Amino acid sequence: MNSSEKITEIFAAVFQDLNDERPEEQQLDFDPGTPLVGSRSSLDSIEMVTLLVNLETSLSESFGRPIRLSDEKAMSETRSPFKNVATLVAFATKVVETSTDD
Amino acid sequence: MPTRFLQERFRQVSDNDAIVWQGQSFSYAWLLDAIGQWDTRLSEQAVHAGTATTLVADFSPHGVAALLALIQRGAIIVPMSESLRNKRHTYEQLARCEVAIEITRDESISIHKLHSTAATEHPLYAKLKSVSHPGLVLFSSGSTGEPKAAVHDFTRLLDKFRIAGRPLRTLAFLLFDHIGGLNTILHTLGSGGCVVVPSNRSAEAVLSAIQDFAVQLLPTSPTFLKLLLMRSAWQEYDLRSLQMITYGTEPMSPHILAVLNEKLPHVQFKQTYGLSEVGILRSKSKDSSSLWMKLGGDGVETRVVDNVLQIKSHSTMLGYLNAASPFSDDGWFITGDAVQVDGEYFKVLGRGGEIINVGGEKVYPAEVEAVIEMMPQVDTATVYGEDNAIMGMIVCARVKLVVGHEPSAKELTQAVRRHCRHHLTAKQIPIRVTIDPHLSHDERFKKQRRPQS
Repeated sequence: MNSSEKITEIFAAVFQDLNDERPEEQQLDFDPGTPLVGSRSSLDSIEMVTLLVNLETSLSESFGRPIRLSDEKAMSETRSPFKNVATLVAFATKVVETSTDD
Repeated sequence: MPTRFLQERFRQVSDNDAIVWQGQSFSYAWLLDAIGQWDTRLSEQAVHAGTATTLVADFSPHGVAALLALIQRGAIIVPMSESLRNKRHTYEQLARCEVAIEITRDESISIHKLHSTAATEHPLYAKLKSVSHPGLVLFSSGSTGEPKAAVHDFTRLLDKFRIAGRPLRTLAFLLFDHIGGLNTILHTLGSGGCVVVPSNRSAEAVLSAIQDFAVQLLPTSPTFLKLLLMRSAWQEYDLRSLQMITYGTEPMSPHILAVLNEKLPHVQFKQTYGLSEVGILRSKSKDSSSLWMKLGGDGVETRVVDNVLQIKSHSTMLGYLNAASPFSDDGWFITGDAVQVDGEYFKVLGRGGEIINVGGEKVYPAEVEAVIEMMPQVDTATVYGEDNAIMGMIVCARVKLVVGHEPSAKELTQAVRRHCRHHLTAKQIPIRVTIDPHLSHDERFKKQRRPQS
């Protein structure tokens, strides 16, 4: 399993936890195109932050080093890494592959 | 002489117990005599009016006698408890102490000169000297940064004890360098009551002191009361003498207060309010189970600006030795405590500095802690803020579990969040929940609301 697949698997579990907290009629599909931010997203800001914090925690535990996804740099990228599930997986993969154990 | 009224009162009740220390009683006659001995000793050691003097002690008979003799001489007193040992040098430098007095647990006494490095006299000290009034320097235990040294005119602090209260047998729980501790002692002795000092501040020592010495009043903190509940040990003690528990220094959980009222139905619970900078204000709780209280009276005025309590009072400090003035332009002390107001009642929500600002919504740790602590598997919760690039801050919690519960961190997080959803707004719900079996309080029995390093 390469790191992108592993991260997708971790993200799916975190996403399921988010769904567990949402009402039956508001369940979200874990699809690459599922929007996470913007007008088409049904996540509110605190849900988005919770999702990111939980994803950071799970990735850090899994890869054995601190992984930060929501920093100033990520926020200011021209193409938001948080646009949808696919862009976030791609961004997390890049962060994991370039991160060092500090 | 600022303590004349106290000494007159001591003479009126000279045969009564003034202090119980290590199981032994010391009468007011003993205390009067000891104050006289201390006066001679201080004179020999060149402690005069205006001499900044460290007093490292507990409320032992000699500790109390030394304190009263120092007040009588007009010295500037810097009280320190044993727990401040590692900060002592810093505090002595800050307070420009010239003499240090140490009284150990076995009542051995040492007095020595210190080398104050201050080139000039601090204006606040000069102000005290100019009117020949004793001073008091208290360090506020700020959660961050350098402690602030609040300078009081001791004469003003003593004024409220001129009218004697009920003579109660009171447990000295709060420490020697805490405004609440000093208030307890002065109020008790000023009323002809008896100060009972426990062998230490553990729940067991406090409970056995209440039982063995018929303590009627226990001034303490919410954190300690929780510790008391957690140990069902309190049921093994005879607490029938106890009439009142006062609690202050931090917000109380409504859930814990309800449990305390249920477990100790014969005890009246009263919230107190005080700060190192303003002294202890007279307060009146709506009732034993209420967190709403009236504040003020005795020339104390209150007002609320931007939800923060401000106070104007005769006993407010003169200022800080090492920090900018916390007074408003029109002379009110800005407490930093966020409050709710209902008519003439206040409810303290928490320290402004501890507020967690989540995307513009103010979250008070105490409120979230109270909700988490309703969960049967939770022993204690401490809520703190963590910086977050998106929301500015997020709410996090450290939780100590009741023995016998061993969920994984993930299971606990889910359970806490599920529970909180019924009681809190989305932004108040902790995002990160960690299990901390060592969750505790500082030596002043207050929660430490900080992320773990």
